[in-house]
Amino acid sequence: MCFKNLPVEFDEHGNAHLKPGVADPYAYRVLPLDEQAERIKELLERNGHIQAVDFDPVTRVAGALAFHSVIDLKDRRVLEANSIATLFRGYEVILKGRSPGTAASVSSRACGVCGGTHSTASSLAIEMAFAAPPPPLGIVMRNLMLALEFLYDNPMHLGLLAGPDYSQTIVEQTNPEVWQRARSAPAARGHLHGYRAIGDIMVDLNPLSGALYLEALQMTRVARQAYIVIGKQYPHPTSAVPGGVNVAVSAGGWEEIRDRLAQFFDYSKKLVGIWDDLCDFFYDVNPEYRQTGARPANLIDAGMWDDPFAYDASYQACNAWGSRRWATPGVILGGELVTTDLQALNIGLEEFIEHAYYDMWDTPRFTTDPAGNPISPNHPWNMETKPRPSGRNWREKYTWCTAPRWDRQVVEAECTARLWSTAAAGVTPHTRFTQPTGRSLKLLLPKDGLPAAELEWKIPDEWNAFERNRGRAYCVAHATLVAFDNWLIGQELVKQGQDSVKAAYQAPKTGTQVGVGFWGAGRGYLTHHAVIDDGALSNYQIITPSTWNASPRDPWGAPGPYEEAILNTPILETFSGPDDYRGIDILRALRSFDPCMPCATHIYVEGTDRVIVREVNTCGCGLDD
Amino acid sequence: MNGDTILVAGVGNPWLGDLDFGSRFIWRVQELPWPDDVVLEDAAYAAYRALHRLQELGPRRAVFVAGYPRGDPPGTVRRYRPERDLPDPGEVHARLQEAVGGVIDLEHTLVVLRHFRALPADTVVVETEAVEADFGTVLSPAVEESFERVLAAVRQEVER
Repeated sequence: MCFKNLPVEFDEHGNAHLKPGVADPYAYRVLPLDEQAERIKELLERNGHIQAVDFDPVTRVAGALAFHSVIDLKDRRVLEANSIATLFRGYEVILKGRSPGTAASVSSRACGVCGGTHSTASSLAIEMAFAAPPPPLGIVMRNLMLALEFLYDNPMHLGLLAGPDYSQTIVEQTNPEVWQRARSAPAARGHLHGYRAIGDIMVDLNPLSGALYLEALQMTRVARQAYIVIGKQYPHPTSAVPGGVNVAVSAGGWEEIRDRLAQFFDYSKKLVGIWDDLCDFFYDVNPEYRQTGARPANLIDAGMWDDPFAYDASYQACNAWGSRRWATPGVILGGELVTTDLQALNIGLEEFIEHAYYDMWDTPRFTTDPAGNPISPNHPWNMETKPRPSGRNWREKYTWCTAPRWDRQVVEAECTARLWSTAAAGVTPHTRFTQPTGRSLKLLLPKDGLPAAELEWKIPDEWNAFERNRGRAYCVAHATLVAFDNWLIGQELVKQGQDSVKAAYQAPKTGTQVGVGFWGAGRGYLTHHAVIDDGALSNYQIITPSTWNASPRDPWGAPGPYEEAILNTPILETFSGPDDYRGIDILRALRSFDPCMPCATHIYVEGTDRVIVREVNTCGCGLDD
Repeated sequence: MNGDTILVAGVGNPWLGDLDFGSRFIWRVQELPWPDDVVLEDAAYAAYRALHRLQELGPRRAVFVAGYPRGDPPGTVRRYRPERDLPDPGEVHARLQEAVGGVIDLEHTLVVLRHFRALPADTVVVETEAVEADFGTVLSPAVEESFERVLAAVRQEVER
């Protein structure tokens, strides 16, 4: 039994049904936020050391994510936190009425970076609706392409987004005492990354000039060059389609992928060594860093990378084929894995709009999923996107991001959730290079310039900004090995003459079909839910990792993951007063989520001028000013 | 780096009204006759991808096409060389960070390319003054009307 809040129980065959005797099973009461807002207002009026600090935009230039916080600089704690998606996402609107065949290419453009993950999730949703499972080599090529995608996505985050927060440039100014310690602190994993001191790592993380920063930029090129052998284009691949891929790869193409993939054998060892050392150093220099971005280990992941001999694209069998993925699906609550079943994951989904700029939709269309399990009126198959722009009000509506919840609990999407559920479940059959132990995931990296290495990602005791970054480094190693495993399987299939890559299918022109693409982006969980009526999309809903993480408070007042993580973040920066306070701890916490706002939202710019009002009082990314 | 091509890159922000002009321009003109050395590119991608693309292609000339709001009357067509002072390194980094976060923006692309010296010396931007920057699938009438003037300007740059 995995649900605590939804009135759903399972029979002896594992079929879900609503608990008997509950009159209105999905009804809920919205709790007002008035009390908290009033309390904060009073504090602000009475105390000079309590400051409203707005990061708008978080990224300083344009951005789509703003963050409002109220900070007690004397007690060094955050009193209030509101995550604000300033952009409206309209892909659900644009897809309505279109041919299902166009969904992959349209939804790909939701983001300037991770288009491939969207086109793949879309393809999975449509091939489920049309019962069009790809042939084994088509699945393998899709797996390979979408593992390669993470080999530019995750290093970019570590090198260009999160990395600079730990660079000499930043640390020297925000925490000079930490920089002084770092200069002579030995780096324990020099055999993996080649650095003698933590300070040397920090110097090479410096923005624009640091060797690690520039190397990350270069490695994204290597990964992309391998990716386009299959995808043909980046970031919007033309080959990811329902039923497989529509591209044949030559022998030379397979070798090109292999040559570039091999460069990640050593690079991923290096990244793991660097981020293990950085995490250990910060924990050692001040144990309070363990609270930076901390929140309960409540995570969700839809799993990814399908078994080419098990995946049949059906909803009815998704629990079985889901458990055979390289990354096991899972919901983790309080650090414990509560389910790996895709159907349970799906029926626990709801999206709430009480604090977002949307109107509620009319009567829900579906009461059950295709397997007969109950679903909520707020489930993505029932939800409609009805935008209603309005003014910002912390008590009512303040963002374009909805509040997805699982079993009415705040869960976080994160690529590390992929490692966590795979490690804890121990059910993946693909153990040639990745071996779950129940408490860890062993990653067996082949020899290249560096000797072969067994890396081991361990389920952490606490969940915070540092563990998110550390986990992302291990995810690079994981994706490398998933790609290599699929490359080897692909070679074997080609040798056997199983070279079909796409299923032939007839798209129904009548009736109703539904599908869901359970997949993942570089940041974690991704689903596309589609409803098709008489050959056209009648509803389409995308839930991205940033939708989960940037979500506002829910109807019960519980903050979203960004908000909760910031509320738990201690202010450890060195400053003398509001004027020299930079906000680095909050930015570290926020950036550890790898926010990707174009995915969660779409751009909304007031009037005809693209100038966005900046209310930035303090921003760590303006350190050069 | 082959140095024998002219890159015409339409920087478009998908389905964001006039900000999508660059991509739409490429879609519309790709069936027209162009000299053999012209590479037409739908550059609906973030700045770091543009950096890699320019570094790999190494064109002898680059023409960027976009709809962008700069305060001129709607549909005004501008042609300029990107030679303004580069912003400070902090802003270059911030723009690259936004690009990494998925944001497509002509200014991000130009700043990042210039910082890494990836633009050919012969680079021109042809812009139309954008009006609509909200979510939408059509161009505003003024920007739509500017299409032929943009095309003429691009042809002039390609053929000189």
